[in-house]
This record gives sequence, structure tokens and C-alpha cells, in this order.
Amino acid sequence: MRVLVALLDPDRLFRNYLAELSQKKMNMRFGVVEMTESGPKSSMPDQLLLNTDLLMLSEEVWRLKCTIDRLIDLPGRGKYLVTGILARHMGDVILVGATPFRPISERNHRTLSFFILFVVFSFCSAILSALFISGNLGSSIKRVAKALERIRNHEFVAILHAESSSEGRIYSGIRKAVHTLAEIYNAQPLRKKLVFEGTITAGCFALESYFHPGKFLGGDYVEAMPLAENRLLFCIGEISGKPIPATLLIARMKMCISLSTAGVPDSRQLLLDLNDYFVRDKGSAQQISITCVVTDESGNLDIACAGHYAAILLSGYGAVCLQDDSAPLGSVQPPNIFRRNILMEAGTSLFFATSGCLKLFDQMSSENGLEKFRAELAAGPENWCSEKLKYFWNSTERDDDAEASDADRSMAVLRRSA
Amino acid sequence: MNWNKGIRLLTGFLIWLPFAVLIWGGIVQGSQMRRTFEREVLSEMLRFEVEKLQRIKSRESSLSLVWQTTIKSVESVGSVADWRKKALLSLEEHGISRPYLFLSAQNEENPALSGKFGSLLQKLFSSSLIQLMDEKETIDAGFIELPVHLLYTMPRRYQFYSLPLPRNDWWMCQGLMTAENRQYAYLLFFEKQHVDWHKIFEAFFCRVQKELPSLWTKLSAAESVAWQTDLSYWNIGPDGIGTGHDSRFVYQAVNFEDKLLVFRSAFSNFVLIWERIALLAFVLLSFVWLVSFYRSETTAFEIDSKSLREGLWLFLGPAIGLPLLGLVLVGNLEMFSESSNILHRKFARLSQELENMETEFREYTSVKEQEITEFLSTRQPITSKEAARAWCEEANCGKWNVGYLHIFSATGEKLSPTWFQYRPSYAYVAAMPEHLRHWFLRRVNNRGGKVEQVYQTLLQRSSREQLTTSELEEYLRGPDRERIGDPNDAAIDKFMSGLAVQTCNRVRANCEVILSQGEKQGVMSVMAAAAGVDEEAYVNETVADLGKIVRIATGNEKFYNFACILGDPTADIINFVLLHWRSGHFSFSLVRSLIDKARTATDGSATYIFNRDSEGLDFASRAAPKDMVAIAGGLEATGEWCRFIAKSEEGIWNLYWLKSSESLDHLIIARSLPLSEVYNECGRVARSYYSAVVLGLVWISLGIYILRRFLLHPVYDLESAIEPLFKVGRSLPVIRDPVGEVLALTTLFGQVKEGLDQLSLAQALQENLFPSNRLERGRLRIEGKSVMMEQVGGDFFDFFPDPFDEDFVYVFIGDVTGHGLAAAIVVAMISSAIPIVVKNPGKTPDQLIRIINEHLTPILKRLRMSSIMLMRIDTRTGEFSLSGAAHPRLVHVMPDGSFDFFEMNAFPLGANVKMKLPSMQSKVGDNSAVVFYTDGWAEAMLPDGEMIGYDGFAQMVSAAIKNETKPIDFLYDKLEMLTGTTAWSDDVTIVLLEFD
Repeated sequence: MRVLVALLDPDRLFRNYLAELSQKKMNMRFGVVEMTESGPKSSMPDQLLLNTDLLMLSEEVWRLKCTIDRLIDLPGRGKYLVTGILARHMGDVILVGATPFRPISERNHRTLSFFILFVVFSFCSAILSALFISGNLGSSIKRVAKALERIRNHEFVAILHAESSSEGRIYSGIRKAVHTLAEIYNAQPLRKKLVFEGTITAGCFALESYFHPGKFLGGDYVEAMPLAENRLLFCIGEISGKPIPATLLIARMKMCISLSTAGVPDSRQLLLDLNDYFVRDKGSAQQISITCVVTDESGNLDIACAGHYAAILLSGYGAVCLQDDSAPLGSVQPPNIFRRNILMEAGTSLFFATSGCLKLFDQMSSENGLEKFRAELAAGPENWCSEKLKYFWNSTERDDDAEASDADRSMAVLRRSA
Repeated sequence: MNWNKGIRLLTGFLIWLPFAVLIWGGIVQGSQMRRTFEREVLSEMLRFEVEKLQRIKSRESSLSLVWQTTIKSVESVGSVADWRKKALLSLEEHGISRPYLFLSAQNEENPALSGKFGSLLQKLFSSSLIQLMDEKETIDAGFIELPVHLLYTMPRRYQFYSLPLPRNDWWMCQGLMTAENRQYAYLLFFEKQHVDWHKIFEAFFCRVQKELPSLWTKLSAAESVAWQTDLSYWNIGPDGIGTGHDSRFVYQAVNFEDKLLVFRSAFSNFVLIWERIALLAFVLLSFVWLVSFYRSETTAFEIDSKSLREGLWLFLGPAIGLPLLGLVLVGNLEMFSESSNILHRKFARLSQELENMETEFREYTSVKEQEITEFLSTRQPITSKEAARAWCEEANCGKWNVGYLHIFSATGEKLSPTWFQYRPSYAYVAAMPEHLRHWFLRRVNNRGGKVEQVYQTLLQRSSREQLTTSELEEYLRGPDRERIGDPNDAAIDKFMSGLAVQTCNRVRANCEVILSQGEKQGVMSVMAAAAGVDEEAYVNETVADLGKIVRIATGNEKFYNFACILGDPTADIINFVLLHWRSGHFSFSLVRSLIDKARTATDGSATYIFNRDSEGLDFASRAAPKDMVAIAGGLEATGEWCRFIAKSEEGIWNLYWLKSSESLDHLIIARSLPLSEVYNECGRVARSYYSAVVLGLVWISLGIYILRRFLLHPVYDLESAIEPLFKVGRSLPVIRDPVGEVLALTTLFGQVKEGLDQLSLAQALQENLFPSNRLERGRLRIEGKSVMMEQVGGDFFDFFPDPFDEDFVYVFIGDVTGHGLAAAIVVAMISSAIPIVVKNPGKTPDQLIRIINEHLTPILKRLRMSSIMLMRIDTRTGEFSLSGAAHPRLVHVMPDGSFDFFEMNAFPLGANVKMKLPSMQSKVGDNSAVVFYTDGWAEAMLPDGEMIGYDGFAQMVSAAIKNETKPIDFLYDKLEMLTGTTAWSDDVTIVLLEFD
């Protein structure tokens, strides 16, 4: 039998115990006070008994035999929360533990400060995110604005061919819109080929034609082509309804009229052919108001009119509207075509205008516009010579309203030279 | 996941991480704060239960509890003998083997169940056991030799006392019980070694568990270690009481025997719900955050309500949501840490109020001391008993609640009369209803107190003899207060006389008055020796404390004395005056005034003052919890305190702070405050917190409103404008407040809509140019179909009989360069021209094409050109003339499915006015077919980027003609299948000519 005899040194035992406790609780300080009936006997560390507050705490714990907490201001160390515990199983000793006193409010306010920083950080992030989003939005809006600018400048290809990794529904809508607009605007050059512009001379007649296309093509049709025997075929008309379908009809009419000019056509027959080909069986969806003029060398005009605005004859006697009671092709069957032959004297002019042009004189009513135009012609015939007419026309084209105008504007003047 | 998305996800993760850590910290901190507050409240509530248990966990209490359970369980049994038998059996069942129970009714002549204790049992009916003090008898009952005087030291009824006797150690209990409508006194004995404490503990635990619903379980040492390791927090104090908690419960544990008794109370569901909601919000926001980064490629914040909404949700949502969550967490943290502070402040307030009471106690003693001193300073020394009696009449009947007023001459002669002690608490109870008076008497007796005859008479009178205050005073001043025949009085008088002589001598000696030697000796020496008091020390203390109120403790009794020498010590006549109070009576008026003051409180606070004195009264300004008296009684050491939260008898939860008074140590003082006060203050904090959250929400709502009003709505309006843009017949909606870009877009879309509507009309017009039905003439069948890439296109075809010979049919197909409206214009021109030019008799197809070209080219001026293929075919023989320009070769499909081509190489229409056109004369074989088509077929792109090709198309078409009944529909379906779309990049037209 082996007996292990351990001679324990209480002081060393306590010291070891305290050292172990201190290792476990780094933020705390520990001490032991040995008590006797007559009061504290010794302490570890010795300074414990030098502090009156700690001494009183130890005595109180000893007296009350219970655990006591005190807030004690330790000199040079600040406020400490000190707990005195009666260590019953260790003999007559009081364990004293001290930890720096951090009131809960102080600790919370530190936590609060930490979280306020966090909230500030978060809001900064929110602002950054908002900036990021607004930046993206801004670039997106710029992109839309740029697209609109290009649309205004008719730079459709740039938009359609622009590379885009992603696009929203609005921008894709813009692209689609641009595609449509491009299609319409791409047809404009061809559309202009369908309408005669410029001057043509045949025999004693000279024709000046001015044309301004509407935004979405248009329904105006002007044709002038020289015929055999120094004759001139001149047509001016308008297709009712929407401009694009009207353009298609004009293309067909132009081909038809072109093919009809192998010989010397009869103006009325030409209109009858147009009626037969294009509107007779189509109901009244599209109507053609047209005036067809065939000139000859002697100054005679063979005029057939189907519901078009009256031509204004400007002569030394004044300006006269050549009114008739014809009706546009397609409005009635058989067509009501008014035919007249007139002899134009030298120096006289015959002015033709479409509704778009007449609205330059009266925006509300083409009929009134015609009358005002006639009045202006009568008032100042010298103002409507070729140069001034050209100037007048160019000035209307520069007008802002012309840019936004949906309708074609056409004017033609047939002048009889000497 | 490709690298790009991976990097975005990593970026998002790195940005998210600090937020996540902070918010996670916030959730944990907030949760801990909230739990801390709840834990503090709950553990204080459990503390009340623990304190109760602490008071009854001694072995004596356990036995009392078991014995009371036994009495209750067998009380309904018939005869007293049966009752005794069953009670003994019950005790044995509970772990007390071989108990001895003796019973006797009052004045029973031949008690059968009393054993040798008959006479002793009769004495137990007495209101006080003080008479047993002088008993010399020892009862030898065989199993025990009981010195009767020991019962004097064990006066409390129903309380178990340990009897350390020479032979054995015993447990003993005495009391009264009722059986067969008679009152019996009983004595219960059992040997300590015959107690099975395990069983007792089991019984105790069962009983206690019924009374304390929060008592959860008992754990052995090993179990308790395992259980404690599972807790997230555990702290056990040196008093053996531990507190701990896990996620669901708060625990309070207390050591009992070798077990750990555990109380528990559940955290409120609000805590758990809040934690889960916070966690869910955190997970959701984090998920949205990370997903937003992952999907950032598809959310480029285009002007699109869908992507804007998605973007706002993905980026702005977490960017606003996370700080809001942070705000909520911070608020929650602050609110509950403040709540915790409030709870501590309230407890601190109670503690402070108790300290204030302590101060009042000290002041009370001091003031009383001063009053008495002032009173005595007006008095002259007296020599006659009459004068002393007159003085006692004035001072010893309610003034300062003095119990006794002793006046001795310097020679030790007692001048004051011997009266019963004045007991203000008795006087107070005497004015109470009868049942309260009887309760008080019983209480005093059960505590082992002694009630003097004058008060016995006063308290035991019937209800009809209700006394007014003046009558009561008159009674107490009446002849009944003369105490005659008390054997103790003579001894006390001798002792006091000796003390008076010694004190007077000592005072005179201090004043250098020469005393004779004989005067130093007195009766006191004998009495002091008998009482075990050191005479010299006692006299010294008395002299030192002259003129002061001092507390004296003898055994369980506590007194207050005020001693003084009346008169000039150098004079001949001086008196020794001693004022004496029982401790309970000394503080009586102060306690009442404090309670009266506390009753006026409007904040729900209350004061409780418990008296250790057996004759003292407990006072409370409000009803206290049922077991608070027991807890108060357990505070034994001066200054010891405890605090808890408990429900009062009124059903109100209160904070309680109890303290064993340091200045008047016979009192346990307590203060309470409604728990609702804490919650009300917490509510104020909560309101400010909720206000902040509401303000935050309002701010965010405002932001959302602004975003909706000025961003999402306009964008949505624009989208609404786009939707009908490409649908025929749908009008554009009116856009709200169009300004800036929105106005421009609105105008643009209006124009486009107009253009599209017109294109739709143009489409109808163009479709009218193409034949919609098949043509069957002779052996010939012709049908065709055209699908345009846009609404209108550049392909065209037609077939019609020769206007001059109906046996012949013209078939043509063409394709204008480009597509869309411009091409459609050319299509309109060419397709209108052919029916016109064929009216020229005798023209071959090449001549007809040439005429068209001559008129077309000056118009087009090479802006557009067109291919064409024109055939004039004999419907009877299949012979045909063919001419064409720049058009894909025709496929001639034989009956066996083989095919060859008819090819016409020339410049397209519109290239030159004068052009050479090839022509050919041939014949379509029987049951053969000729396919006219445009290049849209051959150049259709397959998904692999390859085109179908002309040969491929020829094979496809020959197979279709050979195998399909509707080859054209089949071909279009196949084209869709091959390309995977119907949005082909070119117009696609086909004309099938079949010859039988």
C-alpha cells in the first residue's frame, strides 16, 4: 500500500488557484482574504487589505455570509465592480474578484455608436447604390435622348445598327419605331421620283412644278412628260386616304400613265383608264382627284378634270378659277370627268395646286385657300413669276410648319410663252 | 456559371460580407439584449419560487411538509385511533419508520393514546409553554427519556425539532389537531436513523412541485452536469443557486440534498418570432443582394418598368432594406438594453427606498432618545412610590410605547409599580374583529410567545364587547394591569435593584463621590451569576449607555432599553430609571406611520414590514404574495436581502426587494413596485423606437412614391404606348404628364403608330395585287404564296390568262432589291404594268419585260432594281415561252422527282433602259411541275449559319411536290422547322405550276 502524503502550503495553493483563475478570466483580477473572528488576517495580494473599501467589503461578506457586489473606485485603476464571495469550502477565506466597471448603458452606447456607424455606412451604400442606379438610368435616358436626336436627324441606320448587349422594352420599342420610320423614310427618295419636280418645256409651254413631300409620303401626284408632236402631258392630282397606300397607288398610276404615252393620249380617256384600272372595282377606299392636261403647239390645252381643285388662269384680265362640277375618280361610277379645251394666249399662266399647297393660304379650308390664292394672283401677278414663285416655295419649305406637315404640297404652273 | 458571372457574384459577396457581418452581429446582439431583459424578468420571477424553496428546504421543513401532507390526507377518517393508525402508516410510506405518535384530548380522563405523556399533552393545550421552563420532570417512555423542560425551548407548534438526547437523536413535533370534533394535542417522535431521506425527498418534491408550477425537474449530480453543458449560459452562485438559459427556457436551479432542483420558465413567443423574422429578413435580403449581383447583366437598368422594378428590387431593395433592418436592430437593441436598465433602475429604486427606511429607523431611535432625554430633564428625583406611580401613570401607558418603566432609588429600592408590560401591538389587535384577535393569539402561541392575562382577557372577549379607543385605554390603565404573583417579578426586581445600585454607585464614583465598600455588593451579583451574565461587564455597559437607547438580545428575545440617572449624581437623591421595550413594540408606531405613508402612494408601490418578534405584527400597505412571510423569515443575517418578481394576492406582478433591517434588526423591510411600471417605461422607449421606425418607413414610402410617380409611371406609360404600337386597330393611350424625353417619345410613338397603321393598309393593298386563289386551266394548275419580311415587301407574283387567247396563261414572279415600303412601291409599279403591257398583242415575254423596263428605269433611276421571270404557257400542251432577268432559275420537277433548271441570265429591271433579255421556248413535261421562287428560300439561314442553298431548295421542293398533297404549305412549314423561326430575313415567295 502506498500512501501519498502531500504537505500543502495554503498560501501556495491559493496563489496557484488565483493564477489559474486569472488565466481563465483575463479581464478580471482576483484576490483572497483570509478571515478570522477578529477580522481579516492576511490577503493575497497584500494590497487588498490596504484598500479600505475592499477591507470593508471582505468584512461585510464575512459578517453576512453571502456574496456582495460593490462598485469600488480603486486608486489609479478606476471604477471596478468587485464581488466578494465567501468560499465556504476553502476555509475562512473570502474570494475577491474585480472587473473593470462598464455600465450597461456605456457598453450599449458604444454598441450604439458602432451601429450608428453601420447605419451611416449603410445609408452611404444606399446613396451609392442610388447613384449607381441613377447613373445607369441617366446613361439609359441619354441613350434614348440620343436615339430621339438621331430620329430627328433621320440617322436611322446608326440606331438600327447600334450594338446593344441589353435593351429595355422602351428602347426596343424605339428600335422598332426607328425600323418603321426608316422603312418610310427610305421610301422617300423613290417616292419623290414618282412626282415630277422642276421645269419642262414643250412647244410654247413651259411647266414649273414644285413639290414638298409630307412626313409619311403623301398623296400628291404630279406628272409631266413630253409627247410626240411637241406636246406635253401634264397631270396633277391627289389620292385620298392615308399617304402610304396613296403612294402605292401613285406608283401604279404613274406606271399606267407612262405606259399610256406611246401615242398622243386623250386626256379624258386617260382618266377613264385610271378609273378602270385602279378605282372602279375598289369601292370608295381611295379616290383620285386629278387633272390631266395635254398641250399642243398652238397653245391649246386639252384638260380633263376629275374632282381636282380648279386651275387658276392668270392672264392680263386677271385671275380666274376654272371651276367645274367633276368628281374624283372612285367617288362615282361611271366617273364624272369634266373636259374642256382652252386656248392659252401668250403670257398667260395656268396655276395648279393641291390641297396641301392651298392650306398655305388658308389652313382651315382648301377651298378658301384656293380663293385666297386666286386673290393673291389677281392682286400681284408680277409676284408669281418663276423667280418669285421659286423664292416663295423655298420660303415655305424653310418654314417650321412645313417640316412637321404630314401632307404633301404641290404646285405647278403652266406658262404660255410667246 | 461562366467566369464573368462568377466574378460578379464574388464582388457581390465581398460587398455583402461586411453588411452581413454587421447585421448578423445586430441580430445576435439585439436578440441577446432582448433575451437578457426577458431573462432578467423571468429569472427574478423564478427567484421568488427559489426563495420559497430555500426557506422550506431544511430537513425540519421537509419533515413538516410531509407531516402536514399526512395530516391533510388522513383527516377525514372516523375515529381518532384509526386516524393515528393511518397517520403512522402514511409516515412509514413516506420514509419515516417506527414513528411514535401520542394523542390526548383536552381534559380527557383516561387517554388511551397518550402513553406516558398524558400530563404533558394536557400542558400542550396551554397558550404558552413558558411554564415548562421550570419543570424538572423527565418522562421515561421506554423508548425515550424526555426532559419536560426541553419543550420550553421548542415552543412552535407543528415544527419539527431535533432532540439531541444521550441515547439517540430524535425528531420531535408537537401540536394540536382535530378529530371526532374534538381537539387533540399530539406528540410525534421518531429516531433520526429511522428516516429514509430519499423517500422524504421524493414526497417533498411531489408536494412542492404541485405548489410551484415552474419547478421543472430534479437532477442527480451526473445528470445536472450533462444538462448544464447543453445550456448556452450557466452560472451558479456560492449560495448554491444557479441561473441559466438556453434558446427556449430560463432556468433557476437550487441544490437540494444531493440533487439539483430546476425551475424553468419559457421565453415569450415574441422573442422567438422576432428572431426568426429578423433571420428571415436577413436571409432574404442577402439572397436578393447576391442574386442581384449574379443577375446584374440582365438588369442593366434600361428604361423599362420591368427591369427598373427588378433593378430597384434587386439593388435598391437591399440597399434600403438592409439599413432599415439595421435601424430596426439598433432600435431593438437600444430598446431592450434600456428596458434592462429600467428594470435595474427600478430594483435600485427599491433598494434605495429600503435604505431610506433604514435612515428613518435610525432617526426614529435618535429622536425618541432625544424626546425621552428632554422629558427626563424636566423631572426631579423622587423618593416615594406614590410619586413614582403618578409618573408611571403619565409615562408608562402609551407614551413612546414604553413596555416597562422601572424607577429605583440609589439604594436599590423599587419605586415604580409592577404592571403588565404595555404592548401596543396587542392594543392595536384588540380593536380588530374577533377572528383576527383569535388568529393573533394563535400566532403568538404557535410562535412560542406568552400572552399575559390582561391581554388574554382583552383579546378573548366576544365580538359584542367591542371596545372604543378610550375604553381600551381606560382598561389598560385599570386595575387589571397590576401584576401580582408572578414568580419572575421578584427575581427581576432584585436584578434590577442590584443594577440600579451598581450603576448609581458607578456614576457617583465617576463624580468622585466616596462610596462605602458595602454598597458595592448587591443582590445583582447573585442574579447575574445565575443568569450567566458578567456583572462587571453588564454594569459597565449600562453606565456607558446611559442616556441612550440600546438593543439587547437574550436568546431569541430582543429588547430595547433606555437607562439614565435622574438627578444630579452629586446630590443625595438620585433615581435609576430604565425604560424597556420589546423590540416589536419599540418600532410599532414607526412601522404604522411608514405603512400609512406607503398606503398613500399612487404609483402602486408598497411597503412591507415583517416582525421577527413573536408578538410583533407584520404590516403591509398592499396585499403581499402568499409566501412572502416565509421568505422574509428566511433572511436571518442582518443586512441580508433578496429580490424577486412575484404576483401579489391582488394578481399584480410586482418587483420585490426584501432586506433584513440593519438598524432595527428585528424587522425585515420590503418594498415593491408594479412590474407594469417597468413595462410602462419600456413602452415609452418602445414608442420612440417605433416612431423612428415609422419615420423611416414614411421616408422610404416617400422615396418609393417619388420613384413610382416620376420614374415608374412614366416608364409604364411609355410601355403602354409601345404595346399597341405594333398591333393593328389599337389606339395609343393618353400619357400622363408627358414632358421632356417622354413627350418626344410620345410624339414619336404617335407618328410611328400612324405609319404602322398606314403600312397595314399598304399591306392589304399589296396583298390584293397577288392572286389569292389557284388557277386551273386546261392541264395546268397554278398557285402561289408570298410571306413578307415586313408588312409590305419586294416580292411579287401573279398569274392570269392571256387577254387575247385564254388557252395561254401568263405567270410571273419578281423580287425588288431591298425590302419594305420602297420595294413595295416598285412592286406596285411592276405588278401593275404587266397586266397592261400584255394587252399589246403578239409580244413575247422578253418584249414585254423590255417595255416595262423602258418605262420603269427612268422612274427608278437605279434606286431600286428588280428581278423578274415571265412565262407564257400553253395550258393544253405545256409549251411555254420564258424570259427573265436576274431571277433565280426555275426548278423543273419531273414526275420521278428528278429536276432540272430553267435559267435566265440578264441584268435586272431598272439597271439599263436598253437591255438584252434572254428567252427560251420549251415544254413542261407531263405530270411535271415548274417552281417559281424568290431568293428568300435559298438564302434562308439555318441555325448553324449555313443557307439552304438553291440546290438544297430544289431537292426540298422536288420531294415536296412528289410526296405532299399540299406542297406549298409543306414547304413553308419545313422552312420554319429548318430555320426555327418565321421571322425570316427576306421575303419568301413561291409559285407552283403543275402540268398534268
